[in-house]
Amino acid sequence: MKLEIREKIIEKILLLIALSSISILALIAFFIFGEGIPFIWKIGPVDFLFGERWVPSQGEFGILPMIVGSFWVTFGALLLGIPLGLACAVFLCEWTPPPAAMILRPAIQLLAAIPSVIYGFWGLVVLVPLVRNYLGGPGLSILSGSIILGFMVLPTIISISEDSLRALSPSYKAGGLALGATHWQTIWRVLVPAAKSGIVSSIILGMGRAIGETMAMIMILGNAVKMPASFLDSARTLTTNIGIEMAYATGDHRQALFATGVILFFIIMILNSSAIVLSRRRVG
Amino acid sequence: MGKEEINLVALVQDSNGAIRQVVSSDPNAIGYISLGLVNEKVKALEISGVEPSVKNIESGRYHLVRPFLFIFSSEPAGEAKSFLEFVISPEAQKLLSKEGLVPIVSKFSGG
Repeated sequence: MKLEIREKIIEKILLLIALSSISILALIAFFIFGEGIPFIWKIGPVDFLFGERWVPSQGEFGILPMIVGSFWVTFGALLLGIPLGLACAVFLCEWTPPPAAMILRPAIQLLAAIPSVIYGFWGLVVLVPLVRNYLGGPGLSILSGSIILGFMVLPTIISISEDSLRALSPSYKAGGLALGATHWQTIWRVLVPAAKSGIVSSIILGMGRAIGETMAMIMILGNAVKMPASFLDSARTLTTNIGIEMAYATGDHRQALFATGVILFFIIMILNSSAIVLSRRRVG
Repeated sequence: MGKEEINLVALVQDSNGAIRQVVSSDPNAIGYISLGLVNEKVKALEISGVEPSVKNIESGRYHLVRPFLFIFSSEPAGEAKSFLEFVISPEAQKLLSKEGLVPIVSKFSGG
């Protein structure tokens, strides 16, 4: 009897702790929406979302260049990150001899542990001059940002894709080989498609990281508020807009940054829910 | 800058150091940073023939100058007030000029 009560108490305590982590999310959402939504209504959602000019000192708050910038950079990062990450996961899973994997896997995890300022600093000092000298433009560009971000999303893509490849029943591989397929054919036609749901969610999670990355992007993208026209143009993303201007924004300008956060919130929510839907469908 | 707006194509960096880094590595770049942070990696430009130096700024001949402002939500009191008094003291002004900033004291004493 006493034991039962104790169990109940522990259960309730754990529930409370679990709820507290979610309640933080609710608090953040409440605060951002409270500050941002009224502003969006004041400006007009269409002018805010599709306005091409962001000049806070003149009361012009259009964030379309940042939305476009965010998508360009994220797209570029995935263009680099998906093939590299998937290849790395397949290699780790299928070809790497165990002793080498013992070194490779921690090294990849280290990639995730490097603070983003370090990526940003390296990009600014090494990559940006390279891009400028060989491809032209200011160097501080979507291309530079995409390359750095591509490496930053690698650990996410590699580790989750590898886990999902490893979680497959060994009979898949045995079956493929038994049918006369080569090792590569088995991987490409059987294993990767079978692990698709995990791979897709690894990509979406990487995408989330890419859209959210701020520090490194502030340092590399150049932060011009113009609509980017090419991969060699400077750009500003939704997150870097908040990161750069929050320090000195007051009044309407500050609220506009919260409103930027609202849009970011929606984009992330759409991404995550589409990830859930997509990965479910592939499983079925 | 008056009422003219900054070109939207202009790159923006979030610190003096970052601007210095970008300018020092790009032959075509031009940017503005605080006088105290100009080092051997970048060149400071003359404006209408006047080179940026503490002397020229104090005499008002160099024009691209901005003041540092202390802002408060209410009348400063207590420690905030004594800090403000410290900042305009000769001792603190000496520290500021050692860091490459232009002191205000000389304006008061030198007329």
